[in-house]
Amino acid sequence: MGPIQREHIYQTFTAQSSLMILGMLGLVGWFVASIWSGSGLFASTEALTLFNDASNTWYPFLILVPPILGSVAQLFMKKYSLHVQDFVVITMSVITIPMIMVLYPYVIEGSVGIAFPDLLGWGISFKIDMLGFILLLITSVVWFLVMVYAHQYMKREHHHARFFFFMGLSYAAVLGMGMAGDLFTLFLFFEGLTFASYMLVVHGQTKESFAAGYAFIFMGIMGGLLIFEAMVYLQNYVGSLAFESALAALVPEGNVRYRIMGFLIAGFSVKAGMAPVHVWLTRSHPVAPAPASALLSGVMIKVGAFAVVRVATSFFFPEPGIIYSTLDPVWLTSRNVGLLIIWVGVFTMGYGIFYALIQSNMKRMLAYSSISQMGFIFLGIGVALYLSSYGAMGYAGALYHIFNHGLYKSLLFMVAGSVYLQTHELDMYKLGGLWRKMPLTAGLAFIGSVGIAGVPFFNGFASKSVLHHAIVEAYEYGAPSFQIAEWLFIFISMGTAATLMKFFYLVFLGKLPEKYKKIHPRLRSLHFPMMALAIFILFIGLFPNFLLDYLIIPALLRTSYDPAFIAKYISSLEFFTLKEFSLSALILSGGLFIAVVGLKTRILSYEPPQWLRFEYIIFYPVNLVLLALSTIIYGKESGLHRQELKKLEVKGNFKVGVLERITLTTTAFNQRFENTIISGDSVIFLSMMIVITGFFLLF
Amino acid sequence: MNSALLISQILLLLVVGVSLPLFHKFPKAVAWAATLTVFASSVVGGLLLYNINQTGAFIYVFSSANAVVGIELVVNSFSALLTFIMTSVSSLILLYSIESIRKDVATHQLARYYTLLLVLLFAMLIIIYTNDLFNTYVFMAIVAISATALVSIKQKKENFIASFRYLLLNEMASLSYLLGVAILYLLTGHLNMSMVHDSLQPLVSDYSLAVYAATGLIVIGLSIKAAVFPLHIWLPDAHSSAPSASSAMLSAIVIKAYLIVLIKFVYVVLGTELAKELSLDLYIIFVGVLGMMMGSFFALGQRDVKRILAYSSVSQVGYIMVGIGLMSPLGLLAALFHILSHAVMKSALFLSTGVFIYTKKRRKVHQFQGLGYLVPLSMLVFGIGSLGMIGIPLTSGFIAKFQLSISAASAGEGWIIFMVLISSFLNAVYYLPILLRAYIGEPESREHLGKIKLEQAPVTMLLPVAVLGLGIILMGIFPNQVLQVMEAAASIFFEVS
Repeated sequence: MGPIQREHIYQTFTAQSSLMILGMLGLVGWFVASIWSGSGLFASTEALTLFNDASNTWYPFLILVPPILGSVAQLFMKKYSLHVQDFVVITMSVITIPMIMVLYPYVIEGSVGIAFPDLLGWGISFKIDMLGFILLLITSVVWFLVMVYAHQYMKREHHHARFFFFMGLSYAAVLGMGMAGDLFTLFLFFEGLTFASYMLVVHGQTKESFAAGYAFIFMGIMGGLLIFEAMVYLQNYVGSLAFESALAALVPEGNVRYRIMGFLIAGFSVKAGMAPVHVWLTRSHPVAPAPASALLSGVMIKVGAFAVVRVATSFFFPEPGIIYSTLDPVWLTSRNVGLLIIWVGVFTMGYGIFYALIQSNMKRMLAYSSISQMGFIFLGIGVALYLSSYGAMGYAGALYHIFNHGLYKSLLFMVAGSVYLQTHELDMYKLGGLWRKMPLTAGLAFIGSVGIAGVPFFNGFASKSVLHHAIVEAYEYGAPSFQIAEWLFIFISMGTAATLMKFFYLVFLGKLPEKYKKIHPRLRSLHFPMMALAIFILFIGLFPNFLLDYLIIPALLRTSYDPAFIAKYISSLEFFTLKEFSLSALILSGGLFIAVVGLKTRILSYEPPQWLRFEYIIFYPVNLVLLALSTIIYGKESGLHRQELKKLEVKGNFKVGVLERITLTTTAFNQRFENTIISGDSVIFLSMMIVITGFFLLF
Repeated sequence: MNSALLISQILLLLVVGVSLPLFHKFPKAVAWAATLTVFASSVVGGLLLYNINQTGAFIYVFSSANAVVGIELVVNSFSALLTFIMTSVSSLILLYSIESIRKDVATHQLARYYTLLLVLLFAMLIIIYTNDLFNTYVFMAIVAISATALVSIKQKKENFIASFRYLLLNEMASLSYLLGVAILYLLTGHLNMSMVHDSLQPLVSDYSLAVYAATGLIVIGLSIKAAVFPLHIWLPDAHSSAPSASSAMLSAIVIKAYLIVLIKFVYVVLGTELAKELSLDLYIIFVGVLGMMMGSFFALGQRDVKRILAYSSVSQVGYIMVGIGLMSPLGLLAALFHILSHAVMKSALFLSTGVFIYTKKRRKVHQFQGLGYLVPLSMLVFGIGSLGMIGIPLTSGFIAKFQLSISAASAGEGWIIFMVLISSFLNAVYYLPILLRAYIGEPESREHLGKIKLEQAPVTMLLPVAVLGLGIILMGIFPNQVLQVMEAAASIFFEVS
């Protein structure tokens, strides 16, 4: 392919992708308009009869078909150009968006699903309700946009087809998790997602990406095993894995319900990147290609939070329909679990933002920021569980934030990707003044940054207001200690603002380094997905009540929350009030203060010593034990095995992971064991003979 | 009709097996004849299983009409099912060995190799059917001797060492088993399992030491033969040095025969109540959990794929032991499903490893770079098998693990589930790196793809590998059909007591 031909392909694809994105924007616009006006196709279910029987339809399968078909088909299209291959995958993924949208009238009134009780031993079932619908909607839109972005971004990378193949499979897995009707189906797609997205993380096939991939896949498998254990307990005590209230069966069994909940939350929060188990996240992001990072942060970690919401509000809430008072003992389980989740969420928020502030690598900064934002979401989930029938505000906040974070974090990762594409540099301190060269990207980065910082009229403002209401309610209706949580909430929001100010200042403002004077970025298909995301961010920011009224409140009404509370506080929530604006102003000025002082005093470029690394501290005792064991096994004087022992050295050795250490130790043990095995034979032989003769003497 | 089926299923193997050396001039014909014989035997076994499930069990008394003197062959849904599983998996392994064995075994040895295989299978069928303790001993000795010959048939130094150790330990195990049987015979005057069971009940209180001693000797003997953890030391050498087809046979099938004897001893001879009184259930569970963990730990440090697979067998035997030790219908069901699932998965793994060795001469893990593209089919099946070993959904391994965990939970032994999880995680730690290296280890491996010829194994080798891989997936997706048959088999032991 000559350069001219290649240029031509870029241009046609730019035109096509912009048309496609326009089409998708039109679709979303049509969707929004028709549910807003309550007219047209969505007036009532009767107007659109898709299914004879919504509780038994193959439609959920039908949604899974296009992404899988597209990703498999492009593998067999090696003859055609990359352009055609990608076009197939992207078209296939765009089909799912209207397919999901038409479900709206059904999920408002009930659910759509199908069950196969015989398959796989425990039966598979699909059930799309409002909660799942929200996940499907955000996933399908963001995924499509990232795929368009990836076409341009991945052009120069190797194994293009493989990347798109696993991207399509991950997409199907996320959709499946959104549509799952029982824990087993959820688990199935969860495992699928772990394996499919692993291939996206290690796409670079460098040493670093394999190391990150190891952390990713083994932590994913560990999470899967924890969920497996919870499934076993549920199957044993409840006899069913369907998403229905399990309290009646579990409460008489005592503490088993906390064990189940603990396993479920621990398992899913591995995927969600919650603080003690986030290690894979910060390693994978810097090494994965930008589109993969955008998906990981934008959608995949949300899936973990979604799953926690799903299992917590279905298994550990009383049956919807009856309204229990807040102090009813049915809520005891969720109150206790909620208390824990709130504080873990606050810890995650603080931990993430502390490390985000001091990063110099753009993508790692965004990854830590994602951890912090997941903390916000978990704070909302915690309140939703803790406040029992008044927890609706926390639930709404968590869902709202899942939606918003999906939009602005994928936008920011795409911005980081396009900066990297031009400059091949991820270190923020080596960049600067890029707004002159890339004004459009700078503008988009600005929208994303103010979105995450919580500036009024951008989307982050809306969901953070809801979350703030939730935490305020937590100490009004619950324990007064949550006053501290609220202060931390405001302080951490300042930190978030400061992070993004630092990012924007260092990358786009200031002095342009000499070596980037020659770059000439042009409008490419990279920019259209980012623009579409920016439009969504602005739309939600300007009409914050829209999502709340038409998507989140219908979801709330399907749970066991008190409808009177929802009607009183959430339906009439006012965002643009003086109180909210002043809170936002406080946060922004605090953020500005932190950013300016931090950059002037160079506190924000502080590099914590290696030994302060989380996994190093956690595994320190394990590593010591392993070293001691191997020393004993090899013998202290042994010069033969100095190499192996050096690898196991604890102090100052940060390269060898804990799994590798375990393997090294068992290797040592094996070598010794198998060398002495011949004498082992004779020991067994002798003892057997003694036993046998002993018995002969006995009788 | 049914007894004719039984006789033909068993005798076919013996008659053909013994007469094969007559045709040693035509090695290829011998190989095909042996394969077809085992296949025919498995077809007959399938018919028998179907009949049994329709009309009910029957007892065939051999050599005398009197059950006290004669030897009973009990054909019920348990034994018919297991013999069917064994013969059908073996027929795939034999089909595979037609081509693969020619690289490992000298041509003049071929007829002997097949005789040994058929006699081994014949003896195993009798072990499964028989209801006689001493008869079990005789045929266990036949299995041990023919298996020793199978390990040493490559006639290399390491094979001789491995097979000698195998023989030594197995003979000790036989001796221990025989001693236990002798004590039981002294106590009860019977060798027939059900009769021993009936007359043992009143004797326990007076002769508790003797019963303890007999139980201990028999269980220890069977544990050595089945490679239960602390007594597994012969297994890694024997299984990794044998030709791949023999390794598959030994690891996937022969070990299981001893576990079946153990099941019969615990459930038929002792009965669950007596076994619990002797706290045999605790011992079996403890040893099983220990093996489950330690087998995986030992596999972690290995470099040779076949040794990894062998140690993985040690750990999988631990799972089956736990299922047996739970002494509940659910637990036994889990053990039976795991016997089948492990037979299929382990033979798939060994046979696909055989293809790597046959085509690329690679058996060390660090040489696996790019194998996913050089031997695509075998590596795919190897991958399916390893995912099954880890317990990823859509494979039979997942169902087996779920069954075992459910039965542990319903017995109130929550800690076992946790141990199963740790063992699964360790499985992932040693299986996944192999897969990752094979598929994405080396970026340039695919660029030479055009120049390298793809796997050149003959169809007779690839077909069994593919069938086994498909079997793992099918059992993972439609387990209920298999579980139904197994439930009938497992419930037999609980109806009696």
